[in-house]
Amino acid sequence: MVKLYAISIFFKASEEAKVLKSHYDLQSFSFFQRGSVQEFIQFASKTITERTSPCTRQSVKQDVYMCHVYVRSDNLAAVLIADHEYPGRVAHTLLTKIMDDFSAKVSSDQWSNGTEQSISFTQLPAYLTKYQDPREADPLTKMQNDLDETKIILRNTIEQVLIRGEKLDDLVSQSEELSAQSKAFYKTAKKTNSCCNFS
Amino acid sequence: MNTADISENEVFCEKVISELNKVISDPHASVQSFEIISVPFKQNKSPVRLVDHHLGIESWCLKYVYQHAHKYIINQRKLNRYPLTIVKYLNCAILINPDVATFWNVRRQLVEKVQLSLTQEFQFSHLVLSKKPKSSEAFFYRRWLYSFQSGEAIDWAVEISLCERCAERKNSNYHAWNHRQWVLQKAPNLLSYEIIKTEKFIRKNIADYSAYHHRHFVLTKLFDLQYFDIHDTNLNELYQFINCGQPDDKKINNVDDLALYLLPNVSVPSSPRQSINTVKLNSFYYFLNLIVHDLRMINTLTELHGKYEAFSCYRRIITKSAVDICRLTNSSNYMMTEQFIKNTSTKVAHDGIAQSVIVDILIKQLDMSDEHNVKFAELFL
Repeated sequence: MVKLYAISIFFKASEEAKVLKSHYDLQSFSFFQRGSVQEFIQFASKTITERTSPCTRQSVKQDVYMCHVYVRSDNLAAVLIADHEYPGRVAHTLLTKIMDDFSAKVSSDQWSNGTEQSISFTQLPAYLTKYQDPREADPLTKMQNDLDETKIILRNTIEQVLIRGEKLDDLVSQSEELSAQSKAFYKTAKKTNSCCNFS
Repeated sequence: MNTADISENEVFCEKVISELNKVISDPHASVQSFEIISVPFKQNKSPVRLVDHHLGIESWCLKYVYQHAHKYIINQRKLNRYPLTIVKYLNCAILINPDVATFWNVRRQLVEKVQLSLTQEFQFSHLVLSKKPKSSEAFFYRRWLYSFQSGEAIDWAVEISLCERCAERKNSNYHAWNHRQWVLQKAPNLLSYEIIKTEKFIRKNIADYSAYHHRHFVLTKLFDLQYFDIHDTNLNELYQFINCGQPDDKKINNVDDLALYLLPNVSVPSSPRQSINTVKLNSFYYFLNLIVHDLRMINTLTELHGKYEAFSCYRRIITKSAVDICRLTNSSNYMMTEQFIKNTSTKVAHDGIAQSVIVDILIKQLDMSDEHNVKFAELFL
């Protein structure tokens, strides 16, 4: 499915990445899963941003989902969670555009101490709706000719982004942001071989 | 397990089954969806949850509840008894596992005895599809239910949107698309709306083969029915396609030239204009215009998304349909009116049939550096 699920903007401090603004479109998930899915998107976005160095673009595949991330030289970062069929080039064009707009509206002195509540930037829902159709981004792609696709680092799993010695299972079980329900969901999702179960 | 445990278990199962049933049959709850919530360990509260018209059941209890319901239904069936109380067991068992035909058949018997209402059953199968959008049994059941309703009373558009939602939730959902074709057979007047609907769907689900197959089905069906849109006689796509790369003096820009170009054998001076069946002619233009539109859509999709197998497969199959239909319309008396065929005892001579140029252009737009296309052209074109 050509679909965008979430956009989030981070500030990448030396220790951890802090979320400044985020928005989700999880209508396509079943009702009781949405909470856990949102937590996982938050978790994955943060984890990947923290492991991406400044001035770098990455596209990380996980199952049928793609995590597109761009960390700018000033440590502002944006993450787009999309389906793997959503064109990667368009996703990265959007990331540039979103951060341009964000830094024009929110001055950089608010970044390091900002929270989702304190920062007023209300465009994300509109972006998420408009760019569900990647054709809407055509004018943007033409404006940003400088996007060099060969510079985007492609990864086939989240595991590949992790620092040596780190394990995804450990990160999940140690995470404080994920609820017990979501951790259970992660375990069963891993075990499930969808053909012989009831869910 | 001792006897006390067993009975405690049964009491628990009965409680869950009744609770589930109460929620489903409560008109105020108006449940929209059902799903299984993954909670691996036993909790000390009811496993049935209802939030904002969404119903869920926690996974840890399934093992007991399903077994209990299953046992009850099978036992009653053996005795050939169908008391009304069986309904709540059926609801529970089918929602958990919609693939058992036996359960659905018991429901059928109850419907035939007028113990279950059609409205209720439509709602129930709808709920099952919210849990499993690929449930063939649920679709079969709906078709069976419709056989009790008179044709005029049915709003088929509702059924189409149900298919659409199911197809969106699970890709390559054969059963949903199959059901949709069945609906279209019942309500061919909806076919023309499918043109816009399927294009929208394809742009959103670019690798869903079933959707492409369905669109192909719709296009050819429309041609078979000799459909064309009286209010939309715009053939710009077709002109653009034919004129692409042609010098100005060879460009075609009116319907007469178009007829001559597309139907060199039919529009020869010897066959007077009034001998041509205009409905067939218009539907032929309409069809070809759509095919060309789709070829262009595939091009833009490839530009945006890169190469997908689904794109080239669809291109091949619509090219074949277009070529076949161009040949059909050019040969025999296909385009002639009944009157004309009756009056001329001999068929129009087709010696040295001039191959329509359009066929060549259509074949040429297949990328022949792809060996699949070469093979396909050899076999079918």
